[in-house]
Amino acid sequence: MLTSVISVQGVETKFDGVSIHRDLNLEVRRGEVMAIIGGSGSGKSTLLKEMLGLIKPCGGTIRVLDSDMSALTVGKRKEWATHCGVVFQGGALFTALSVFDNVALPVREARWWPEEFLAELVLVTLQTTGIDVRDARKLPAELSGGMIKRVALARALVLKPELVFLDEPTAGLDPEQSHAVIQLIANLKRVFKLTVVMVTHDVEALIVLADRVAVLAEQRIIAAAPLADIVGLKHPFVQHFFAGRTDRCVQSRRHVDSCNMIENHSALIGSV
Amino acid sequence: MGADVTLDGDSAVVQSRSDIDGIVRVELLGRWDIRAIRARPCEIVERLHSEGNVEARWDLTQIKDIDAAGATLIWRAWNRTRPANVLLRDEDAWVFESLALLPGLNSDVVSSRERTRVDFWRGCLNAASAGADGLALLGAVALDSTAMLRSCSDIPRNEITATIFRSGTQAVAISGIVGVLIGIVLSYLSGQELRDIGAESYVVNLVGFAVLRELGPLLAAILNAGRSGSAMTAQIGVMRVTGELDAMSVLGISQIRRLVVPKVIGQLVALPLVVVWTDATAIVGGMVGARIQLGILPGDFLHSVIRLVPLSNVLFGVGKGALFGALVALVSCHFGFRIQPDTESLSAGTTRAVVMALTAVLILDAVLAIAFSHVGM
Repeated sequence: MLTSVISVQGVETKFDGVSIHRDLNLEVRRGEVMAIIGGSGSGKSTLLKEMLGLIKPCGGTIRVLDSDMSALTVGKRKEWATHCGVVFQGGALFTALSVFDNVALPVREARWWPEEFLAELVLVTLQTTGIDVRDARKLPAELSGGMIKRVALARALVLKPELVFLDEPTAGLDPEQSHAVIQLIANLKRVFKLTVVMVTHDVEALIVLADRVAVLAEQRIIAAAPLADIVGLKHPFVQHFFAGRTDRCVQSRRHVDSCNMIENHSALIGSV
Repeated sequence: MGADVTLDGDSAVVQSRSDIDGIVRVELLGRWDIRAIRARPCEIVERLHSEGNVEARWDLTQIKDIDAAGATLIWRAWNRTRPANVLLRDEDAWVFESLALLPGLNSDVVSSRERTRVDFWRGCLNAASAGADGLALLGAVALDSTAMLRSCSDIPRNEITATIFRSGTQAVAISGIVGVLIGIVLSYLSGQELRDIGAESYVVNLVGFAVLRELGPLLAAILNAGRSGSAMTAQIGVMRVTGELDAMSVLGISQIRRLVVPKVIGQLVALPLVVVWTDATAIVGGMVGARIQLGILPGDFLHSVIRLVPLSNVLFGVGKGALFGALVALVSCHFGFRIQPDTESLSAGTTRAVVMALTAVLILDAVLAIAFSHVGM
């Protein structure tokens, strides 16, 4: 089995002659949570889109789950997509479909599961992400921001992917919701044995979730290391980002680990 | 006594045997996640049913991996209640607890289909409220336009010129092509018939009156409803989806004055010009058709048109163009504001706007044709 799930090598990206990435390298290992941080306009979302094959880089190679993203044919892409779940920043739920139909969509598209057993599969997945089954028939427009994130997570996880991309999973949520979503992702990650790539600005998400943090600055990844090592970097962006919070980042990881040991898997149901 | 049932190479395995006390023991092994069992879920349920029942001893401790999909099948075999004798790993318990929490499944939990069902009376009510809203919009436009006339600095010049550009300048090519083609077809086909009865020279009257009085304004308006009308509805609809309409309200910007009035004024200016252009190109087309079919010289054709068709017809056509333009803008904006923030509503609203704009144009045309039947004839 591969230990490297994502391998980004020497990627160059230019938009209208403006260079976004220059010789960018990043490896994501199986089973880890890789968080990508960087200032606004540093090209985090572009990098995420390149990993998803939505944008083609001008140079370099990106391999995700052993597929070269620039050489993915339509047929292969469909198969590839069943191994990846994506939670977009705004959720990107289909507004014309109910919550239930949104989560059922990947299963129906992949033709993986007969319609007669679909209801339980979808509703249990929704419960796993903390959505009440009575909300299953609601339309996305009737949901709160936190619920949209949860439904998007359910949609990303319903095919049991091994790799999940999260774009700002806590953006736009109040602190309580944001805390709940972070805990939920931590639990899901363990139960579903996921590899997670996440773009975030949320220091709490970094502390609780991230095994390694990649810093995107000066058009490349300047470092990819555990959080405790990253906070010690003498880079202006890093120092500004963690200003006044370095101690928490160094200490709390140990605390989080011990908490995770105590919690058992039924915490998932407890979060409903 | 024992029975081994292997369902798939490395995926779910069901084994059953009788214990010493005679009770059936069912052991589940292998992977029970959607990836492993997706090929034959129905078969697995059947096997589970045939191998054991609620009274059996269920041993799930040797399952490698289980998710909602695998658990659903086992849950079905248990008739949706957890049997008394189940051995389960702690980390797998959550999925069965979750299944136990599900209420009795009925279609209204999962289906959103009824939303698309059309109720006749609700339809009538919607149509009535749409009519009332349309009248209210017309009133608001009239009030805002007159208010704007009092202070010239409030006139949204950029928006007006943008509308003139989109509905006028950008429509030149398509209106010209359509005009020429309709002119050719009209004179070519009617020329054939007229020649049979020896009335070739009347092709000028026919093409002249038809184009200048009816076809020119109507073609321009139909093209305009399809091009600009749909664009206006979609623009306002997307502004609703992205929250820009709310932002305008919060900033105290009048949506009517900034979005509707400039479109109506722009269309009032642009469409008469497009009508003149369509008229001209259709006459040129008519000349070409008459030359090919009847051998009438273009110079003679033009002379006859000017001599036979009174100018009032041209003015009537151009005036109709202005009215049609304003009508298309009003109908399109009206349906734009009724769009809800979802994609379904956006597409339905745009379709409805174009259909309603065309219908309204044709009705207005019929009314004007009857009301002004004495003008220019």
